Amino acid sequence: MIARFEALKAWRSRRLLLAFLTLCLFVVLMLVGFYTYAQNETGGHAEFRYTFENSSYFNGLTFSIYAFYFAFLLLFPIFAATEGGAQIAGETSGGTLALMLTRPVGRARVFLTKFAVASLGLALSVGLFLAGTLAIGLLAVGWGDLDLYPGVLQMTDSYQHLEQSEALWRFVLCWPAASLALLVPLALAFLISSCAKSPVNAAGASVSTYLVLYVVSEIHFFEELRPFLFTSSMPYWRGLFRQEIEWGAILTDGAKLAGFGLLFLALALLRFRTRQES
Amino acid sequence: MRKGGHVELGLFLAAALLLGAGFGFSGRDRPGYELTPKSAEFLRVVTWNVGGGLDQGGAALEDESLAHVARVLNELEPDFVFLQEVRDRVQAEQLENLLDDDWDLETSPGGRVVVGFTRTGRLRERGPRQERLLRVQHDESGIHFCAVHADAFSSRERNAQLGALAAELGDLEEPCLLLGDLNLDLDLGKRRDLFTDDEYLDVETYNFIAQRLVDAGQGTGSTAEPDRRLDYVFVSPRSFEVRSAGPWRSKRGPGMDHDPVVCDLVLR
Repeated sequence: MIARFEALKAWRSRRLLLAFLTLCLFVVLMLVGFYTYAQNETGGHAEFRYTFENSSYFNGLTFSIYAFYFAFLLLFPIFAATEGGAQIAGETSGGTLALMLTRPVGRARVFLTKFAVASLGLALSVGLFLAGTLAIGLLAVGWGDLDLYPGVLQMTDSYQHLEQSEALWRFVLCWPAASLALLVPLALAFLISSCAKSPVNAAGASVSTYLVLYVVSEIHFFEELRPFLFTSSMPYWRGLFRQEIEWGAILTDGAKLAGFGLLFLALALLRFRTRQES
Repeated sequence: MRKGGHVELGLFLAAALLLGAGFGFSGRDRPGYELTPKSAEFLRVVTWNVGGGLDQGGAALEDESLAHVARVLNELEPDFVFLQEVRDRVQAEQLENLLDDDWDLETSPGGRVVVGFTRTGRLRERGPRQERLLRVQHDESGIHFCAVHADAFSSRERNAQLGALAAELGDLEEPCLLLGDLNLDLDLGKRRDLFTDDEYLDVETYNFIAQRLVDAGQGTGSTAEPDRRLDYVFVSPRSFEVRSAGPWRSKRGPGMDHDPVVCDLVLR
């Protein structure tokens, strides 16, 4: 009953619509950018004479992976942070949380249901985005084998070639792996939301915290800090696009992310369970 | 304890287990070359930029460092050595005198030369002479070497020079190596830095070479300060099996900013 109620609230929320529209705009921009870049690199306007890029390199699968890579790092975590940030604080601010807690349902159950529904929504958006970009890639560019080169999007440290059918399987594997990674900013946002009373403040603080951690994990100056930041492990799904998947590395990063996610969730639940509603 | 408390406790325990597993498995990945006794089964090739770092004004090899360089090379017992940033041929000959055994040497034209040494046979020049590029062929094995000190300041120059060499070597039937301080910084170790400029341009050049030749020391970490991989040994894939390769760490002399990069190869 609570789950259905939370799902209905999420469905009616404008946040989902906004996220969907933003993703659509992003895909259109990516498509234009990808097309013009491919034209330049293969149509005689290449900056360098000796380049590895050719017309077979730019296909629908490459488009999908480029689009997903940027969306994963820059859009999905922000959606996760705003969604999580608005959950508890939004209900506190609207006065509906106090009303909800007067019902004979445990606080832990309310909290975990909210998190489960938000997680499911996030995972579905990731799956839809992957499927959508693959479909658009097929229609607009056409599929082919997937070639990944060192230095490009930091996807790999050595050349990788995947046959089309194998590459599509890797996209399927990528879905749960990337969704797991996004649960960490979502759980962090729940933690911040459980401490805040204003959804705007909670969402803003969650987005800012993610961006700070992301930037720190990208700058060489902070090399020693990187292993301890969840943002360093988030793009671990890139390892699924290797010819031979290094499962040890995938599991290590997956365990770290799950650990961080559960830690934030436990702290958020502790705060939510013990706080006084006015 | 209330029900919610049990849930929290379970979450904390699961988080601790998973974080323990995640951090317990990961170690610092900084592999490099590990010296093994030299045998006749494989060839040992060394490339080393022996010049001074930028804090030394980017100077060529100092005479005071000759003994150190010779000591490192004698310890390695290589078959082929290619050095960049040697002051001139005279200094190269001084170094030769400090090495064990008899060596044949060739140098590139101009100043701050690229030097090639071999312990067996002779190195014969091949192709037009260019500054900071030594193209030689070993008379006994037929191996074709292109030792380069690529432009440090222009990714366009690097692309033109290294791309042309890779295109040519990739078509050759004979065994060949493209090696030296290629000045390509790709951040392959996922070092990542938001504030770089030439990195994506060097990606073009590196991948063009890697489509034709094998990067022998791939995944072995940085070779130069500050934490950059600039020195490479690329080998023709059909002719060689790479036994081990990478930067031999802690062997820099005073003021130097590059590690020697060593590659043990089996000629097929």
